Amino acid sequence: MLETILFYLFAATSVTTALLVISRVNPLMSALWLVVCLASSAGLFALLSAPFLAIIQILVYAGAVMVLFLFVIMLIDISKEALKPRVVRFAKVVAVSITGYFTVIVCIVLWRPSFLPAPLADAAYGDVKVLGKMLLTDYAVPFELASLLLLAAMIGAVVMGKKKL
Amino acid sequence: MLNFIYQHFSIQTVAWLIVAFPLVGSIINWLIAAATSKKETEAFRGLTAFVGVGFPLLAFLAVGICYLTLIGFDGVDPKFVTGPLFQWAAGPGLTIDIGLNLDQLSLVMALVVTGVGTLIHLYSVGYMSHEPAYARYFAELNLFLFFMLILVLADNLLLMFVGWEGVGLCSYMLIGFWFEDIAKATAGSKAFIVNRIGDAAFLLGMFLIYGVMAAAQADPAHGYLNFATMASNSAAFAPVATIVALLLFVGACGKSAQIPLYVWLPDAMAGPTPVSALIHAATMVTAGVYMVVRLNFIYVLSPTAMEVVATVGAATAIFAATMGITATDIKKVLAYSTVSQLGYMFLACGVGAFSGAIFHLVTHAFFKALLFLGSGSVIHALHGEQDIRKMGGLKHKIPLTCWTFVIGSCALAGIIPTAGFFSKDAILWHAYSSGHIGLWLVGFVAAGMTAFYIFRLVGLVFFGQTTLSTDQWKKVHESPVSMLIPLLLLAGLSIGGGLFGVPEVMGGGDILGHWLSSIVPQVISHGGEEMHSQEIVLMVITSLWGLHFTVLGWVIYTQKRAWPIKMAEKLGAMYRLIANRYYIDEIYDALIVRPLVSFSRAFLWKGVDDVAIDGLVVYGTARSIGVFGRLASLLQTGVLQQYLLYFLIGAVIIVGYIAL
Amino acid sequence: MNWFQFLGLTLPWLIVLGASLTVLFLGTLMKRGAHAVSMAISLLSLVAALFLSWQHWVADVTVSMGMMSFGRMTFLGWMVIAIASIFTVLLSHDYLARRKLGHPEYYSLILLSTVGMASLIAGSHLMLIFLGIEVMSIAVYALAGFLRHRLSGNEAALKYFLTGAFASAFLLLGIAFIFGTTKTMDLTVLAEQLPTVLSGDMASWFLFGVAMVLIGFAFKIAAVPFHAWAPDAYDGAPTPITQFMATAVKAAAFFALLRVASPLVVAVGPGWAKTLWLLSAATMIIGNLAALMQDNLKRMLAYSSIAHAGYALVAFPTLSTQTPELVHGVIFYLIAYTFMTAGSFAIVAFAQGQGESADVSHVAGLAKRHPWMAASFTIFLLSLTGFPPTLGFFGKYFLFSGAIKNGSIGLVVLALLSSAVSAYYYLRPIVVMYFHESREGVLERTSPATSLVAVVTIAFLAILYFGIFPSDLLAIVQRSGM
Repeated sequence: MLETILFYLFAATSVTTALLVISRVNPLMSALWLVVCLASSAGLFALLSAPFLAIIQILVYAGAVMVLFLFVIMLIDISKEALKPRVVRFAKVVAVSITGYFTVIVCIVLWRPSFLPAPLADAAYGDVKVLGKMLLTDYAVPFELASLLLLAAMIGAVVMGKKKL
Repeated sequence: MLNFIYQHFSIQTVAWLIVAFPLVGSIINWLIAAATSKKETEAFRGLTAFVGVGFPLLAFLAVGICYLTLIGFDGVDPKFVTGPLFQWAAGPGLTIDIGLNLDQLSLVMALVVTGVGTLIHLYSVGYMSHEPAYARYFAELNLFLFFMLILVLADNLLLMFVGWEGVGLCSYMLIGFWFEDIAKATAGSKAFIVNRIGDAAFLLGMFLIYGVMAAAQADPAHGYLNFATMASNSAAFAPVATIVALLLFVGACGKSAQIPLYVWLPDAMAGPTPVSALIHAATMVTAGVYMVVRLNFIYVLSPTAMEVVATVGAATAIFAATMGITATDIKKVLAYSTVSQLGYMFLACGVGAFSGAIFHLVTHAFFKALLFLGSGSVIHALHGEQDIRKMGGLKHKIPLTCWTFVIGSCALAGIIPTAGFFSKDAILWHAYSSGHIGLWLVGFVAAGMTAFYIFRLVGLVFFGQTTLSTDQWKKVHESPVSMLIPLLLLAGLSIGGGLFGVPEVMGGGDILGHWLSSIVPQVISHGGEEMHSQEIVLMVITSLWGLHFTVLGWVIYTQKRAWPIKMAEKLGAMYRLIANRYYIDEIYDALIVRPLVSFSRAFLWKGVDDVAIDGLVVYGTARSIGVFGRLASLLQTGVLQQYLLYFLIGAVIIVGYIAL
Repeated sequence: MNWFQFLGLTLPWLIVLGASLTVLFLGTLMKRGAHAVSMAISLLSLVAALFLSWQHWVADVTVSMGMMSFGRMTFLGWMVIAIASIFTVLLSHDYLARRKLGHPEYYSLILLSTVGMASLIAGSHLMLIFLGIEVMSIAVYALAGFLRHRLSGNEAALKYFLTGAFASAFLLLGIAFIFGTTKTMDLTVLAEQLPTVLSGDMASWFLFGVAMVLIGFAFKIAAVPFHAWAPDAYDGAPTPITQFMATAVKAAAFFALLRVASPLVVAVGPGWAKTLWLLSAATMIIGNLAALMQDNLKRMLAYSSIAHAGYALVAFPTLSTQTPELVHGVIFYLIAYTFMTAGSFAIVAFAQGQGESADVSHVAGLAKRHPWMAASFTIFLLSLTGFPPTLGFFGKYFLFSGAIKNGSIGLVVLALLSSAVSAYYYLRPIVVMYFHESREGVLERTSPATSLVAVVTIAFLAILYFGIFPSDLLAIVQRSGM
């Protein structure tokens, strides 16, 4: 019972804050709401008996990454003028209606209230040790590929950002 | 020697080398032509000539090796197929293997093509020596040889058609070799266009064959158009044999200059003389005959088609012969003679004497190439003069040319014992013995005319009083050795070439007939003693008839040159009719070309094309598509949010369709 | 899992990966000549990858391990992307040298991207496929903006990146849904579970996931309406990278899509087929129509590339595991398309010279200045139009005849009509090359770089050779299985 309550709490928070992230005009506010959003999804992880992921989520995303975000946003000076929404009214209307329609469709599709009870994860599921073992055995290839992904992103960032190559 | 070759090459490789050699020669000469085109250079002439003659010679040797190999298979069916080199297209119902087919028939053709071809290439070395575009000439001539060999060696109708079109292209390029002269370029175009008419029919015939084979569910392993596949399913052609045979025959008429599509050949004489000898006498124009013989299994199924072939052939033979009598251009006389002789070959096909047709094809290649090369030698000696009324007495100045020319003329006229006698006699005898007395008579009369016009030519050019001015007379010179060697060799072949087909009544073995016996149906004419005596009687009559006109022509045009002029005056209208080639060109022009042109201009161009097609279809669609295009590019605004909007629309559609 | 075998099989791309890292370090170690050396190393590693992939193809190993499934089809895909990347590297050297942009990072990113593609092609697990797509894409985002001094270069990178991230979100969500409903991300297991899932309660969730994955792929192959990024990104990117995006990226995405889609299309039913029908039709029509109006050769080729993706999609509505001819048609088409597009971009890069503009007037009079280049471009464009006897004709022929055989007659008719429209814009550069006078100032004969000539020559020979002997190429494709 408590779990159910907590689930709905975290879920509602993350959806609401996600909406707030994209609807704020001030990027600083968006970033701060994002911290909340990430933290509440960390709560969801914890509920799914994945404590390691929950901690990582808070440490890396809500902590380190967001701090970086805030620094960047504060460093680049965004004038009031640039903050005004610039989308054409007509396009806005279309966009809103399409998005609405999309949401309706998604709701219809997913509104089949026949959820199967998820099988209970065993106790060791979210364990760091198990996770580490899996990453280096069964999931070694995607793990390595993910590191390549980061490498590519890093090089890309340097290429795009550095003044003189 | 042969064993040495077998150790190193398979016979299949040698067979492919036959076609590869001329192609290589052509490519090398094209490269030389490309390298020297901009400069006024004499460089590489030696190399050009060496390559130009050397590769055809190599091809000839390769054919020779294949021939010897075939003979080596004693007692076994000597036919062997080189098999497909590669599969050009494969699909359900359409398989096309590219392969060569070396059998008795194609080997005979290949021997003639490469043999005579090599001699004519050699001749060209001297004849074209003053020509700036030397390399281009040899490149085109070698290319011609390549396509001609493809044509005769192809193992399926489609590859044969490739060769067929290829020789047409080379013919066009070589007729218009001096394309700066607009008349010569036009002659090339005329040849090309007239041939298109025939080719269209050929294609239709080919489609029909494909349809028949598909309907008969023939083995598609090598493709429906493979000759062997077609031959083994020949029964399937029975219901449509006439239409197939006639469509293909229209194609043959175009290529082999038969009525009504012969008009391009006299104009084709605009090309260099060796070209006329090779393409428009010895090889390419006989392609139609070869095709009919190759597909004889279709023709024999349709007596109607055979009648048509024979009749057209005989009509062409006599019709062209009459024009030969009045022509005054030395090459035009020979051109009409070629048309006429091709008519004989079709006559032979039509009466079922396919081997006779090939026999005449071979001997004709020898003596007509000889005659053309001889005429080339005369033209060379006279620095371009081609009007036979302005010649005479040349035997004193160019004796070798003269006597080889006389030998060629004897062969054409059918004088015993030259090659032409045996082959022409074989055709006439088969026409007679198969019961086509009317056609025989036509051929017989045409044979007399042939003898007459060719010795008219001999008399006017080489004998009697000269009509040349003294200055010109002094400049006349005999041709260089490279031109005389081919003349001598061809003269030898014109005399001895008939030995391959000496009929059995004369104690010969009809070697060629037996050689071809597995490919073409044998003519059954051995009706015992009575037939033999008939054959001998006819032979004597024919030869006396020919001899008579030979002497007549020669006497009149060496000593009594005033007679024919008087005759012409007396005959008046008749003479003018023939001298103007029956106004056929004018008739075609008035009946077909001009109405077509004015119809095209007034209706198709101004009406259909300008208004309907251009106005409505082309510009109309272009404009309307343009409008859509502009609309489509309007979508590309450059605004990212809008792009994501499209994205979302797409997502809605996809999710809606798939998941809903 | 036998790690030695796995390393042996992936050796081609391990070499490329190693080369990528080597090149990256070179930048810090060398100052002069780093460009030439990094280009040489990249080229060598890609050639080695091509050769080893070919060796694998010949050896015909079929095995699944490490979330990858190896087989002839995988190796064929590897060869295609290796060839396309070789073209890119060859084109890049001259292009970058002229602009003084010869940084080793550029090559390093290209090589990383190809490694991503290789795992995308080989991946038989949705996780690996996603990671492959991301490695490939992230490297290309950066490459697209490599002309940093140019506003349109930045624009290209940014637009590509933002829309790409958007699409990745869809893809990832789809994968999550598929995983959630089937408890597996392995494609083979997924195919086995398909009947159970589709008849079960979770079917609509599963289908939602499939739809999302399809959207992600549709973005990568630039199908309408997920295409809008392509013209801007293609135009702003350096020309060799445009070629890379149009050939290698697209080919890799199609290979992966074939693998993902072939068990799904028929099984999932009419909705899926209808969607792909619409996608294909819209892509062909919009791509061709929009290309009509372009004066910029790169934009024209961008739209043309969209249209060609539409042609390849013709095979998809009736795709199933029982229709090898459709798979082979698509792959044959991709190979044909790779050669002709790479060749075309080589000519565009040459015509651009030092500048960035790719206006069609740059090729005016090319026939007089560089007759061979003009002739090759003509062949490429004719091949793109689909004239016989070029490779493009047979590509269309095999593709469409397979589609007709499986009943997509309406779609093929549409494809033929729209490719008739395409003749309008493909023939225009030919007219300009042969009948327009050169613009002033380009009269001097700048001779093309050797590497550029090599690309043009290889593409030219491939198009003509396989155009005359298409059965050779078809045999390779057919022997690659499914």
